[in-house]
Amino acid sequence: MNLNLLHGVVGQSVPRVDAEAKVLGKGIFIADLFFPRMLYARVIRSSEPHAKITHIHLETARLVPGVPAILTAEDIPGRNEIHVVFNDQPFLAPGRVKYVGEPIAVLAAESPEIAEEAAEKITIEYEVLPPLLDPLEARWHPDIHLFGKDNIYRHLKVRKGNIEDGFARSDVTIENEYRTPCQEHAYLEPQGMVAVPRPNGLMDVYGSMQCPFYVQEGVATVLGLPLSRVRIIQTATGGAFGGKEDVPTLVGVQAAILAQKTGRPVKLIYSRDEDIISTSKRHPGIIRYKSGAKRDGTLQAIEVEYILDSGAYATLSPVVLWRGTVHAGGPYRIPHVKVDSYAVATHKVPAGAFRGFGSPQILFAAESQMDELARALGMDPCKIREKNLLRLNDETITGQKLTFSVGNLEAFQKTVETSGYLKKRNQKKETPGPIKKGFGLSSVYYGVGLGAGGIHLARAGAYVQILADASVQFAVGTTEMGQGMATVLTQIVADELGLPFDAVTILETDTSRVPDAGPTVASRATTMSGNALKDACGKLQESLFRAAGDLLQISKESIQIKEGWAVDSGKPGHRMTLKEVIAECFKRRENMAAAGFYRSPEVSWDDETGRGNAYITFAYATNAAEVEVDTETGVIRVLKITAAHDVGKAINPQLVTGQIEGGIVQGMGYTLTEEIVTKNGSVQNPNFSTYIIPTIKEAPEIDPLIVEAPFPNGPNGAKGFAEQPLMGIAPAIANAVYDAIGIRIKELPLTPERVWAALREKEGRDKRSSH
Amino acid sequence: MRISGVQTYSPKNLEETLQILYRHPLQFYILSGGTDLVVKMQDGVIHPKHLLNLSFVRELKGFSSEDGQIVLGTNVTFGEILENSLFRKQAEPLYQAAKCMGSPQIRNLATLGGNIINASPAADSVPPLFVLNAEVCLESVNSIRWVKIEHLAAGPGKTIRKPFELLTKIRFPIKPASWHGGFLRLGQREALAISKVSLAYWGVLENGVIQDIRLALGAVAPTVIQPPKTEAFLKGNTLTETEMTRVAEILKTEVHPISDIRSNETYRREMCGVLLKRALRQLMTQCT
Repeated sequence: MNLNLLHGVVGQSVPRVDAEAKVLGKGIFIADLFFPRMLYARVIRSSEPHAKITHIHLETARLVPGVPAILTAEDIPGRNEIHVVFNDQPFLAPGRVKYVGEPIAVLAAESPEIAEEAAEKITIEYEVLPPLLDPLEARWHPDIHLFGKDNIYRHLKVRKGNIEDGFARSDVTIENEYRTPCQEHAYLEPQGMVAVPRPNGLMDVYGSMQCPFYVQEGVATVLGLPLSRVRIIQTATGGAFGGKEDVPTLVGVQAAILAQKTGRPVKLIYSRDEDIISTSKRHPGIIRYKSGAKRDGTLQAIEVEYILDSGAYATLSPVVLWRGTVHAGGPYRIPHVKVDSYAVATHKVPAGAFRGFGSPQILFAAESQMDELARALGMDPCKIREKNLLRLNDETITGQKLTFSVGNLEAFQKTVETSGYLKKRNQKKETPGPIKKGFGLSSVYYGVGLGAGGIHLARAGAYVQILADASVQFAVGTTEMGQGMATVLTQIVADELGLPFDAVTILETDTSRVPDAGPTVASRATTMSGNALKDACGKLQESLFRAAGDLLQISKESIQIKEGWAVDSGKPGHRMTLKEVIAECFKRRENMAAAGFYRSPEVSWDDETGRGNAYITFAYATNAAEVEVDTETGVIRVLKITAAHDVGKAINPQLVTGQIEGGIVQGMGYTLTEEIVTKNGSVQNPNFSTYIIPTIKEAPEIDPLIVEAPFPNGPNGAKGFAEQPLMGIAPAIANAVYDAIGIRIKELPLTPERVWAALREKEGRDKRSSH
Repeated sequence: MRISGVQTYSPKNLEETLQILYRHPLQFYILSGGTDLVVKMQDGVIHPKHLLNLSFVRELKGFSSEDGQIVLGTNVTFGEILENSLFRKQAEPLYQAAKCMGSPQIRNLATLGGNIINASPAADSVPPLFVLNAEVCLESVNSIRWVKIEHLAAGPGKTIRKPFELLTKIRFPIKPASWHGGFLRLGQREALAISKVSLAYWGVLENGVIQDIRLALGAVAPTVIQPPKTEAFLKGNTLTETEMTRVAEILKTEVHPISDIRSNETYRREMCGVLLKRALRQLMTQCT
């Protein structure tokens, strides 16, 4: 750490930089953006899960006045391809459709009404083919092939120790199958883009997104343009949660290709229905999980088969599967491990990125198993966790040795102590009425950043400029989507340059300002952009220290910069304002702008053995849930959740606790009510009256706790963690439900209908066994 | 998806409103609070060319309590029902139903008349109106008739209202203070949810014996229903646990739920029994 820097705002809960605009309704979202002569786009989509397109009738639609362009797969100037991990996904269906909602054509019209009218006049003739809708049926299907010969996008393995030995040494083994549902992101703002053609074949695209550089690549590929002619500008983004990782590429190209064809700006805003039907979701999961432990609770072995229903194109499934696979064991020492995981193709809307990225599914199983082991061993679930938690210098299931920043045990203890878990559990009394109380735990860990699954993208650029009045502008390539990145990075820059927080301004994310920073995913923005900004600020500090040293007539090594002052560290009264120092820099014609870059530390992975240093570091958390189950109705009420998270360093504690609270409520929705229901591949609940997310009335009391085990490679010791709050909520609640009613429900969501049916079944079993 | 090309007529008084409706009975969609209608228009489920907006019709607003009855204008919102202690005291089932409807935004717009005339089997205000013995007034230029609420709906989304008639008022008698009631429901969440099962009750208990009781259930048949056998069984009965279990079984034979995206048939049927027991226990507490 540079001793020239004293800390100012890092670690303080300064208000969000975008708070005022958001609260006053002044934020400019994509729907608020208008350009002269702008056209409005519509997407024409497949009504079939699997079919050959035999004819597209465009004639009547073309007769509608005010429709300058209707484009199909035949009209694509570049390649008909949306690259995510593989190149299997077309931009517009070329003769064959693989899911309900797959784009077949796009059109642009003078008004949204005309666009709708024209879209309704397009008819598509299909030769309907049998769809594969169940991943277990699709995997290795002999006749119907969506992907390769086996319909498997990716098969991953982890092999550690000797699985037979592991189970032979176990005194108990528990084996169960778990199922998790398809979850919709339900971001407040639906997908939307505006494409604006510029002279000389340039194309600007504005929109709601996480990953501007993905959109840039997609637009260049499909429109047949060099990357240098495509500029992407992110507008205020009203929530994303992974749903705006790969999908905006599709939306951006839909608008841009029409803008290119017509030479006019084109706006495309998805309706809620369209958004839910056609965009990515959390993969439904099937998890077959066998665990073994010794009598004293020491974990010996896990054998896991993990299947993700991935939909009609690979999109991000190979890497979602990878993260899930690496996280299969949870935050524990396990000597013998065998994991086989499969991302399977089905004729459904492609699943993709969603907060947790393949880990919530498998952790639901893993953490339910921990409680089942404890029950079989007659141990408290708290004790079995404590015994097996990963500690400093322990190895993960992929053989990664944890040599720093392991706040696992500390987070666990903080949650257990603060929640009063043991006391509450021990004092729990059998209550006479239908309402039963229960307490449950879950411990999770989260591999920070892209890890070995996305190492080629693990870099970030930044740009910082000090202006003559001692204010600062900076730009990064990662995005603000509500998570608080803009505020956290402003805090980092302010401290690095010793200037007050409000002297620093973040510019909108624009691909023309900084080098490709990779995607804003994997809880990586703070660490990656934070480090890139530090690199840039370090270059500017050189000029500041030199000028200040000269002005104060001391060596530059003695200078400290802090909150607007350059101070002689030996003689604190001897100082001058940074304003003066900066004025001196300008007088000297110093370069007061700097580009920064950061490359994340090396990680590794071996596909054959599933061994390697998968991630640069891990965040850790333990959740304690307190629930009430109404045994007459099956209704679960979550009363309280206590959650301690090791985040390395909370640069803005209020934003950290905000992330914890948000993740918990979103995780509670995943646990209790949320499920996209499909019938013959078609979404049955594409709006919020039938797709049930929690409201403030369901939100439990939340006690968010912060643990700081500093990450040496993180800016100010910070590690990413924003996905982690959601990841362990389902098992914590399910474990609490078990504690309340003695029933293990292995399928999410825990709807009243499901809980009630399980209660009746148990009642029947109990009656039979008492006779 | 987008609402355009709609002509809206906003008459200022009832006579003008009824005239428009009489002359063009089939051309108009009637806009009261708009919390269902506008959503349907937005979703492209209906495409009205003409809207008859009741928002400015004086005679359809407000409510009164006189001659032993409460009379409400069709445009009274659920927000207004919640704000007035009259309903909390004299019409507990309606007050409680209003409390769990939608969200504050929806309650401030949605009207009682709109909720009734939509004829949804899951409409939360309707079971309370059943048990309160409510009648609705259907008026036209040259006719006026009071119809019992239980005769209004003919099926999901269907009523006996003639195209030129307007639902103008809702009335129900005030019962002595010894009567108590309530509204219980199960939804997919606490707020902003359509009921899976709902039950309203309104009764009087003396020395542990039910003197009189009225029950109505929502979302378990094509319309809101009253369970006559259950009511008959309860009248004159004492509420022991055994009796309650028996009557819950009777109620389950009187409902006809379906399975849909919100719940399933078995669960809905069983929950009728659970809600009934809870209602009866609540009534016992209220009457002591």
